[in-house]
Amino acid sequence: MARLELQGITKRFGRAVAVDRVSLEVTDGEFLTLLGPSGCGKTTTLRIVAGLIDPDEGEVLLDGQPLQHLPAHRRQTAMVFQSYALFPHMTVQENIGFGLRMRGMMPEPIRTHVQEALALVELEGLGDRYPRQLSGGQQQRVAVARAIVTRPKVLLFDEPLSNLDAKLRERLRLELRALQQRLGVTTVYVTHDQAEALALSDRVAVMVGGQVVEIGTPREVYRTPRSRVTAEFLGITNFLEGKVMAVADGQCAVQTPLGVVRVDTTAGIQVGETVTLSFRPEDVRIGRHEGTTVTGRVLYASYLGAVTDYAVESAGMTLRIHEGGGALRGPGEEITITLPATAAIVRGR
Amino acid sequence: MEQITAAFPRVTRRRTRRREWLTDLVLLTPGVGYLLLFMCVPLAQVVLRGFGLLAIGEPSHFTLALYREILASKIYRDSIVFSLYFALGTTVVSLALALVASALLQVNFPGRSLISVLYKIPLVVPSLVAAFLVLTIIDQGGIIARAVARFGVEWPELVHDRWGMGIILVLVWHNVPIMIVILSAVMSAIPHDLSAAARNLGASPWQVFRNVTLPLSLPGISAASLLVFIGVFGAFSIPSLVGAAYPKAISVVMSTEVLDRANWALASALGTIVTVLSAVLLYMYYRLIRHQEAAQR
Repeated sequence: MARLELQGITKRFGRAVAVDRVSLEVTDGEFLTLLGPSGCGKTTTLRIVAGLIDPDEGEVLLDGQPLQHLPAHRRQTAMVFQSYALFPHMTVQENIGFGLRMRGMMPEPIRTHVQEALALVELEGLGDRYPRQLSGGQQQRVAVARAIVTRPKVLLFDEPLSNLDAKLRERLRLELRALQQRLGVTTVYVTHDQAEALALSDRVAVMVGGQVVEIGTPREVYRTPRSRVTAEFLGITNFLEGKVMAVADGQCAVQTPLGVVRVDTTAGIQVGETVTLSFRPEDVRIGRHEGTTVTGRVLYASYLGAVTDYAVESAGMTLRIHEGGGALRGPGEEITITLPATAAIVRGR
Repeated sequence: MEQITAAFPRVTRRRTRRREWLTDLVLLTPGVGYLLLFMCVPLAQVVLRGFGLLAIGEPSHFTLALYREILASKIYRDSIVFSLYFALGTTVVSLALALVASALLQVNFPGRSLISVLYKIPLVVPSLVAAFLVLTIIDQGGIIARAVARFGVEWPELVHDRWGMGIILVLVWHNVPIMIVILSAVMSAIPHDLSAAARNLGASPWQVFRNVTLPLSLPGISAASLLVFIGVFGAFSIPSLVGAAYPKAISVVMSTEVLDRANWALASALGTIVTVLSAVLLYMYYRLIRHQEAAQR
């Protein structure tokens, strides 16, 4: 149906490079998220796909056809804006029907399509209201309905949930994902919220400084990030630098300040190489388990409900540990912790 | 006992209230007093004079004779119609030009900052000077007429003409910048995301202008049109300078009545008509705006 390709997209604003040689491929029906801190170029990339910004270099292809010569209004790439960008002088119905009206559809079929779209986002009966009479969550749904009613080839989301409170955000996140799967429309989603990216996407592309530094499934980028920035951006992590002592039997032994740590990775690892290990706090366990054990002292403990967040000092380093259940340990307590062999080996900055 | 304690604060409250009222009055005097003295008094005088009252050195009694005289005379009727005509013409032409210019000024293009300075020049040029500037260009002895005469083309009469083309031209020249200032302020206040969203949904640049920019600029459009219309309706210097011998603008007629015939009463009646027409327009404008706002609430 629709395969989107970005080839070497570069955009400069004055001397600053906003997007730096970004190449991506979004397969038909795929949900791809561009994740990164603010100012990393993700929104600019999205607007380039929509044709709202012209790239300085590179090409956007839809089903192999270059989009460069197509103005924004002929691209069939519907976008949901962070501000929703609902037309304040039009009712909900008129807002949703706008795209169809611009394409010259007659009023009667427009009404039918608008009613369908309203039902899809569960806003039946609110068609005659003006946007300002709706809550933030309802406005967001109108924006989504307005985008999908035109049957776009590609759906673009620019931080669509960032203006909502946490609880609503979580609910709409699930709804958005369900809707996208039902419609099977190719989707590019921009966010700086890692939880959102992991929950929604088929694949996540991590962007930093205008470049895509890593791309993979949510599980891949979270569990086995290849770069430090990815590991850091996708949640809390513990970094441990060390030197590879030996590689054997599908494991490598790394000499770290905490002693020798064994890791279940060998791919491309050379003996004598300096590497950084990344442990997620929920993988580090308190007590003696299978893996590398070290001792440490609790610096603080904060109870978060589902888990308890510990900071543990060991050999001059501070480790973060998330433990679900178990006895609550207080500051100053000496504990044994286990570093599992599932750590990721990251390179680069 | 209870009643006494209850009544006591009430008395003091009433007394403080009266004192507050006096303080308010004293504080309001400079502003409101000024308005009363210099705006309401002369206006009342003009209106009363138009009905034959408040005449100095003449017998003073209420009469509608002046209005009857105005309505009966073709000269006065024509002058009112003529003033309405060129005021409307100026407003429509200025609005059309200002809309296009303001919409273009929202787009980034090379030389935009230069143009946004240049278009403001008429704002600082007195309208009399503007009239002469335009005269030297479009009059029958003007620059264009001389240039085209070489090719045997006879330049039409655009100044002192029956259709007030010269008047409208100069007034448009002077009023377009005022409208652009208002309209581009209103347009630049429209969030960029709205036009981006409209384009994204398949609207061509013209459709974006027609469906988003224009309706959202309506408050500015009506305010600017009203301002220009009322200003031009009572304009004096330009119609008197580049207008034809007949019909004359209403303000020109008024000045002739006062200066040549010392007919203050008739001039006052004409002035009342101009004021009332403008006031009615202003009222209709507010009704319209309130109606629009109510519809969107």
